[in-house]
Amino acid sequence: MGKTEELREALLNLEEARKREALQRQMAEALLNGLRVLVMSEDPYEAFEQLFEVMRDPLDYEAAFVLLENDDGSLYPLTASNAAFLDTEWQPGTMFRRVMAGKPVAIFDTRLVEEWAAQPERVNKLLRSALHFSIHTPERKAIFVCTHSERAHFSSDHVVLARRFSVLATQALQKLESTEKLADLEKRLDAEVKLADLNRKLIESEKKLSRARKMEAIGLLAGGVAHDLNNILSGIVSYPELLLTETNLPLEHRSAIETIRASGVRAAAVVDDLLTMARGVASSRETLDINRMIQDYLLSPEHHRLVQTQNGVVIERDVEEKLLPIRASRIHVAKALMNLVSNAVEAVRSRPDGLVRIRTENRYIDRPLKGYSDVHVGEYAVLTVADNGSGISDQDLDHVFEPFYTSKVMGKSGTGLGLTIVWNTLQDHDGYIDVKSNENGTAFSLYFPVTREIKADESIPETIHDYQAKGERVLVIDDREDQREIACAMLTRLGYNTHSVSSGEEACAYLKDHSVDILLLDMIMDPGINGLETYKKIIQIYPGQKAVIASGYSLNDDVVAAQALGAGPFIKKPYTLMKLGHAIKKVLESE
Amino acid sequence: MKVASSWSTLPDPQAAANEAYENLFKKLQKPPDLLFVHSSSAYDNQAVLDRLHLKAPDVPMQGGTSCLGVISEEGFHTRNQYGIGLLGIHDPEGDYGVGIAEYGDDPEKATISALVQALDMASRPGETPAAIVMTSCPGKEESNISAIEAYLGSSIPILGGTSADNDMSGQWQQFGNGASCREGISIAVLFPSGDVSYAFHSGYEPTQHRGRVTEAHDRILLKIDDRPAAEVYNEWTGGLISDTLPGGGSLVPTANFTPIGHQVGEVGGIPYFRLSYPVAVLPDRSIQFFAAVQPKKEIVLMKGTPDSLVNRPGRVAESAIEAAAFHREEIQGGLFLFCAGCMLAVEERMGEVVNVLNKTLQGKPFLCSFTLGEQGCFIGGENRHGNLMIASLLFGPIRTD
Repeated sequence: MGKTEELREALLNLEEARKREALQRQMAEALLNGLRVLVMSEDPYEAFEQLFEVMRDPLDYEAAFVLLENDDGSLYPLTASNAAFLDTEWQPGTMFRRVMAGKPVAIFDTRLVEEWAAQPERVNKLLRSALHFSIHTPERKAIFVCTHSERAHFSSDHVVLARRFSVLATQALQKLESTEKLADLEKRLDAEVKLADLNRKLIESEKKLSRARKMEAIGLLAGGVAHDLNNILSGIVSYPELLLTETNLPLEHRSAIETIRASGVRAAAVVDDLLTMARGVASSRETLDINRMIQDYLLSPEHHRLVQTQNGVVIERDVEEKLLPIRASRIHVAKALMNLVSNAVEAVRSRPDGLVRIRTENRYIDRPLKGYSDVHVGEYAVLTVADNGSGISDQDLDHVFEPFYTSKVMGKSGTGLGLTIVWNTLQDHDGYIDVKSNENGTAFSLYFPVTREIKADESIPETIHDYQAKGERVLVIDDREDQREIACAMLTRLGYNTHSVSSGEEACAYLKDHSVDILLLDMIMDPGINGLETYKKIIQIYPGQKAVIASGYSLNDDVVAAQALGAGPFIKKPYTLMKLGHAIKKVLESE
Repeated sequence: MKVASSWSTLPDPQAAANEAYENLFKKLQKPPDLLFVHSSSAYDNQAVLDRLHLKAPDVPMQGGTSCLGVISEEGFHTRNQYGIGLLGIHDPEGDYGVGIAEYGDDPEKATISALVQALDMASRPGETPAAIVMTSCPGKEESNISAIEAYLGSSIPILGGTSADNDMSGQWQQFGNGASCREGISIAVLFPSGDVSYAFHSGYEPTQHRGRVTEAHDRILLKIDDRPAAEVYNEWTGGLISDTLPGGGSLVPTANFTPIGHQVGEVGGIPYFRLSYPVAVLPDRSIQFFAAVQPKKEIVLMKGTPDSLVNRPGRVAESAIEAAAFHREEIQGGLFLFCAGCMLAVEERMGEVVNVLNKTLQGKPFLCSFTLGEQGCFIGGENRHGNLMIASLLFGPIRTD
C-alpha cells in the first residue's frame, strides 16, 4: 500500500473518529443538560417540559410527547410539547409493544404504521415520521415519542441517541412517580392525622358524655333523695345538739354524741353539695363581679374558720382591677371558689410556708386550652387559685373532677364533691378549666365568658367622662363579629361615630371613599391580609393615619412594625371601656 | 444473535445446497432468521434456491450470483467454477425481510416493490431498518439507490453487490426467498436485535492524471477535455490499451489496476473516490464503464497494486470495526462484497485475503461475494454505487456505554 493511500486512510479514519466524537459530545452535553434539568426542576411535569427542550436539538424533532400505559394496556398522553397530542388515545400494536420491550423504533412514514394510522387526521397531518423509545420504571411503562413533519427524518444515529435518552427520560418518570407517591403519602398521612384528631375528639366527647351522664345521674339522685336526707339528717344534727345542752351528761357519752353531731354536719354538707349540683343549669344567672365575690368570700365566716384551722397558711390576692363581669349563678361560682380555696389550703397545710394565691385577669382566648378540642373564641374572666403544695400526681389529675374521688380520707375533709361542683359549674357556664400541677404546686384556672352587660344599678365611673368623644369617626377592623360589636358598642357609649369592617381588604376598599379619624385595628385576621399589611396599605391612601392596635396576643413583631409606621398604642383583648377610651383619646389628642 | 457461514463446491445444485445448509445448521444449532445466499453462475441456481427454500421455507433469503464462488473464514470456495456460500443469522429477537422484483420497464418502481415486500415480510411497514442489503443486475444500481433513498430517506446505510457471472456472459442472477431473476433486484431489510457497522473503500489511489468529462451518456464516457476518452485513457496509462484502441474491445482484465476515480468527498484536504471500471473501448473511441459517469465532473486515473487489493478487505473490515459501537471481540460475523475484477486480478492470492480477514475479524464467520459493482455507504454518509470497491457489513451487540 502506497504512502498516499495510507495517509488517505488515516484521514478517513480520523474523520470517522471526529464524527463519532462529535456525536458522543453532543450526546454527553445533552445528557448533562438533561440531568441538570432533572436535578434543578422541582415539578416533574416541568422537568419533562424542559427535557423536551434539551432533547430537541440532538434528537432534532419538531414535537415530543410522553405516552403512559393504562392498566388496560392502552396509552394516554402524560405531557406534550405540542398540546395537539394531549387529546389522543392509543392502542398498542406490534410497534408499540416492541418499543415498550426496550427497542427504540424510527418510523420513516407514520401512515404505514397501525398505531399512527388509527390516529385522527388532525394529528397525522402534523407529522410524517416519528421516533419512539421506552421509559420504564418498575411500576410504569411509557413511550417517549418524537415527531417531524418530514418523511424519513429520523436516522440510525437518532435511534442510538434515543437509546441513551431513554435512561434520562426514565429518571424524569421516576421523579414524577416519586412526587405522586409523596403527594399520595402526604394525603394519606393527612387523612390519618385527621382521623387521629377525630378519634381524639371522639374519645374526649365520650369522656365528657360519660362524665356528664355520671353528673346527671348524681343530680337526679341528689334531687330525689336530698330533701328526705336533709329531714333525716336534721334529726341527727339537731338532737345531739339538744342532748349536748344537758349539763349532767356523762363525759363518756358527751364525746360520742359530739362525734354523732359532727358526722351529721358533714353528711349535711354532702347533701348540700348534691343539691348544688342538682340545681345545675336551672339556677338563675346574674351579672357578677368575681373580684367582689372573692372579697365577700375572704370576709366570710367559712373562710375565717378555714384559715383558723390551718395555721400559717398565707392567702394572697392578686386581682385585675378592671375585671370584666360574668353572667353566672352566684351560688355555683361561690361554691367553686370556696372549694378551690379549701382544697388549696388543704394542700399546703403541712408546709410552714403554705401559700394560696387567688388571682383574676381578663383574657382573650382564640385557641383551645389543654384538654379541650375546641374553644369559643372570645373574652373570658379568669379566676385562678394556686397553691405551693406538692402537686397532684398525673394519675390523680385524670380523676380529680369525678365525684367522691379523693386521695384524702372520705368524710374527714370535704365531701368528695368539691371539684365535681367546680367542673359542673364551668360546664354549665360554657367555661373552661385549666389545671397545672407539678412538684411546686397546683393552679386551677376557671375561665368564665364575660358579659358586656352593665347592671342597671351600676354606673359608669366618673373618670369615663375624661374619655368622652366629640363624634370623631372610628373605623373598627376585626375579623370577628362579636369583637366588632363590642368595640362599636363601647365606642358609641363614649360618643364616637363608628363603622366596622371584617377584613383589611374591606377596610382599604371603604377608605377609598371615606376618611376616618382613627382606626381600631385587629392584628390577627384570617383569611386575608393581617393588621400590619392593612396598615401599610391604608397609609398609602392616608399617610399618617391614626390607629390603635388591638390583639388577643402579646405585643409582637408585627405590632412593633406597625407602630414604627405610625400606628398608636397596643391594647390587649379583652379591653375595658376605660382602657379603650384612654387609648383612643390619647392617640386623637397626639400630634 | 448468532452468525455462521457455510459453503459447498459440489457441482450438483441440490447437493451443494443441501451440504451448505446442513453445515450452516450444525454451526447455528438453530434455523436462521435470515440467509444470505451467494453462488456461482455455473449452478442451476433456481434448483439451489428450491432446495434451500424446501429446507428453510419461511426464512428470508437474499443474494445473487458471485464470480467463481465465495470466500469465508474457511477459505476460497470454488472448484471448476462451482461454489456456493451461505451466511445465516439466527436472531429471533430481530426482524428480517426480503423482496425481489424484475425491472421490467421501470427499475425504480421494481426497486420500491422489492423494498416494500421486504418490509412487509419483516412485519415492519413504515419502520426504518438498520441497514439495507441489495443485489441487482448490472446497469441500474444508481437508480436502485436513489429509489431506496426516495422511499426510506438517505440516512439508511445501503450495502450490496452487483450480481456477477463467471465470464461476463450475462448469466448473473438475483435471489429473493425462493425466487430468482436476471434483470431485477433483491433487497433485504435488516432489523437486528443487535447493532451493525459498515465501511466502503477502494484499494486504489489517485494518480496525477486527471481531466474533465466533457461528454458522457450514462455509463459511456465519450470525451475527456473534449478529446476521445479512450485516447486520453491510453495516454494516462502509458499505452495500456494501445492494442484495443483501433477497433475497440474488452478491457477486462486489462484495466484492473487502472480504474477511473470520481471524487465523492474530501477529508482534511485529501479527496476520496468512487471508482468506475472501464469495461470496453467502443468503436468511436469512447469507453464503457460498470458505473455511471457524471458529465462536467473531474475524473482521475486511479492506480492499484496486487498487494493493495489483497490487503484491502482486511482494512475495510478494520474501518467497520473502528466505526462500530461494539468491540472487535464482540463481532458476531460479517458480509463482504468484493469486486470480481479485483478478485480475478489476485485470484491466486485469495488465501492471503482470507488470512487477512480472519486476522482482522479474529476468526469470526464471514461470507464474501465477488460482484460486478459494489454499493456502500461512504464516510460522509453517502450511499453510492462504485466499481473495484469493497463493502463490508458487520454484526455485533448493542452497546450504550
